[in-house]
Amino acid sequence: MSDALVVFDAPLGPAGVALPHDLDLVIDAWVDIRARMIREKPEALTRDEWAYLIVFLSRENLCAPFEESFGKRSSRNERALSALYRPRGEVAVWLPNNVSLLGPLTLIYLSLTGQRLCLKAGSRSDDPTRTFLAFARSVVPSGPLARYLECAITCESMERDDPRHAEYAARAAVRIVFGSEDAANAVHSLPHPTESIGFSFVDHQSEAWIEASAMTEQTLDLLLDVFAVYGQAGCTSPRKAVLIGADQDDVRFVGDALIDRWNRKARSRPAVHEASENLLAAQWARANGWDAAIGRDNGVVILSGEWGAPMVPMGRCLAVLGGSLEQAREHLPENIQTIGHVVRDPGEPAWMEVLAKTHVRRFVPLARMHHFGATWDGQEYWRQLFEVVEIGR
Amino acid sequence: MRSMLDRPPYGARDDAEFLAEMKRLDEHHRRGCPVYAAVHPQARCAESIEQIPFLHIGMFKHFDLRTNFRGASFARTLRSSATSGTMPSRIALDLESSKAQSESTQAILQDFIGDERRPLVILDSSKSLRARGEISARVAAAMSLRSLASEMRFVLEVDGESEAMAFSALEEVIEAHASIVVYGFTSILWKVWNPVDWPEALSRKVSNTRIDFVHSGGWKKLEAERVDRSTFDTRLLASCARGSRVTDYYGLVEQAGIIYPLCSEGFRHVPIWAEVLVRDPFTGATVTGESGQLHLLNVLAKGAPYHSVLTEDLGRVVEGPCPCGRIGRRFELIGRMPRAELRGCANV
Repeated sequence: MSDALVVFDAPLGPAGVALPHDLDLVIDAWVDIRARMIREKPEALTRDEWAYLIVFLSRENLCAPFEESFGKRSSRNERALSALYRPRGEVAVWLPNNVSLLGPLTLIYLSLTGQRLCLKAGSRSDDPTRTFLAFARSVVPSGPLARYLECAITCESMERDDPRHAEYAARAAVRIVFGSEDAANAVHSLPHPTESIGFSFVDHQSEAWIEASAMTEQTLDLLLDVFAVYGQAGCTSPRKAVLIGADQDDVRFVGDALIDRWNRKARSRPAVHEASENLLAAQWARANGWDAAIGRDNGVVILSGEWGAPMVPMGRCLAVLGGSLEQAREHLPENIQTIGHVVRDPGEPAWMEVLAKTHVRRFVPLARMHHFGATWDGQEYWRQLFEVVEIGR
Repeated sequence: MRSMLDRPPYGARDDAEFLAEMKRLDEHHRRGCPVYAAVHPQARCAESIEQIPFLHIGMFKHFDLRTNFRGASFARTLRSSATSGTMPSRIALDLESSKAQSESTQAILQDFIGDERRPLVILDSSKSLRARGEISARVAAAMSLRSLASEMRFVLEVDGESEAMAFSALEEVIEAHASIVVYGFTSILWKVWNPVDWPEALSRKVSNTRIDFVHSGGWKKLEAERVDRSTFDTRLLASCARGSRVTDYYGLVEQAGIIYPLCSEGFRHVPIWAEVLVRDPFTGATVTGESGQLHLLNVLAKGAPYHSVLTEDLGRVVEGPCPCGRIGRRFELIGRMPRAELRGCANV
């Protein structure tokens, strides 16, 4: 049942979205908890993670899924709708053990639909999703969001053979799986309602593409900052920085400059085993033909080299390569997800021509590589949480 | 190398001789091992042992490292046990190094359990020996005690995942000898050596036998069961005659032939043909008195560059003479590096 109909100016005419709650009150409640978040942070989340969540809970960002899916909010009290959207129903989400912020981010976006949500979270006691949910439940004042968080969300960890996996799949109108291909296949092969839909967000890699002529000192800092968040552990994190139009001298120059800037900026020390792993990554890379330089505290490894040298799948290891746009395209991994760009005009037809021939899912500014949105891995998953009622006259 | 092995393991060392040997090995591996040469392309003019280049222990998991040299004869590949779902290390064993490593192990162990030749009871299955080409760390550890044994007896019956003591085989040895050596991986020794549950006659015979228990391998499984060293030793020693001993040694397949038994004072002693440095994990600088990453060196490795290996174990070099009386460097083994799981956004 719909409690509120929210109208948007969709390109083909006014579109109504039927929600089981007052959207404005829900968004207000999320925005308001940021004041508490600034004052207190659960230990289980890092400062960077917490800061990202605070930014994510801006009003603009919470309105974005609706606006991207249905258009701008209509200021008129329009009733002559050209389409009506209603949530499909219960959503089940499977998160892997080591997932970082995707759990809380997904929870926030899905809460906007007001649908019952079952989250299979990580088993660790400091799991970010359970931690964030507990925090939100403790600070959101009474109202529709508080009721939703308390009554409509189940968040639990479970082993692989737990019967609750099957229960989730049997009930859910939408299945969302983050994890390995095997995990996604296992979930989607469980008996599920015929008309339910499933999304799989599986193993992906990302790269930064930087036009040599657009490279600045700020770009170097930005590249390091974006990379530093997850190293190679994030699917949205650049494993390679490709300098379009650069030669080997440029590559070496940029590699040296990155190490120099890493060493000059105060950063927290890596964990002991991460420092050790970076040392191993540097030796492994040298054995693979890369020129490998290690940053302060063994905190990062910057590789400079030529196309064809095998990548090193571990450590906080960023490879810098130079060449033509065609070379960059040829060497994209099969499971490419995001290209973070620093180019003069990303709308140029040349970029679109190249992207059309690849599996790239996101072509976004370098600074936005990690930004989670209503479209992910090329799938408009958030829009598809709703089904459409065609309205003809 | 030869001259060092001819001397007792614990004594005053000629550091210049050791450094010269390590520099020779560094160059030897650079010439014969392409991976080592790629990682360390240029010879360093090392003026101290601290400046000898090393390989990270993980390199042995990802590369088949082998050093070719004139007269090299490779017999087998030593494979680590690969705990916790990690890849195993593979060490190419050449005959020349194997012989030296066997002598090394014998000399070190003799210093702890004496040179009397006794039956060696191995808590493993004889089937473990049958794999050709590769040898597991568990079997290699057992076989390294061979030179101390008057005879060897495998007393474990392995059926898939289950392991049980072959009572008759053990009984045969015990009936004929008043003193024996028992070797097992730490977790297996704890699991299967429990005479309270054995046939009464056998338990009685064991209680009259003097036993030197020698064990190696991690404590992870026992820590999960909340078994500490004192509990472990007490149970073993309660089962046998007075004068029995328990010797726990630390060793890695990436340092074949070099073992570090725990002395009566709780320290590990470094034989003169090896060296242990402790490095700051962030700067690589060597530290004394502080804990850090163990860097193990030895002069016995010709067939692959495991002469200088940075481990993922933490330890602390302790200065001053050890009350146990052994001379030379000693260190305290702290354990494996803590491994917090890396957080990614979804894909790892």
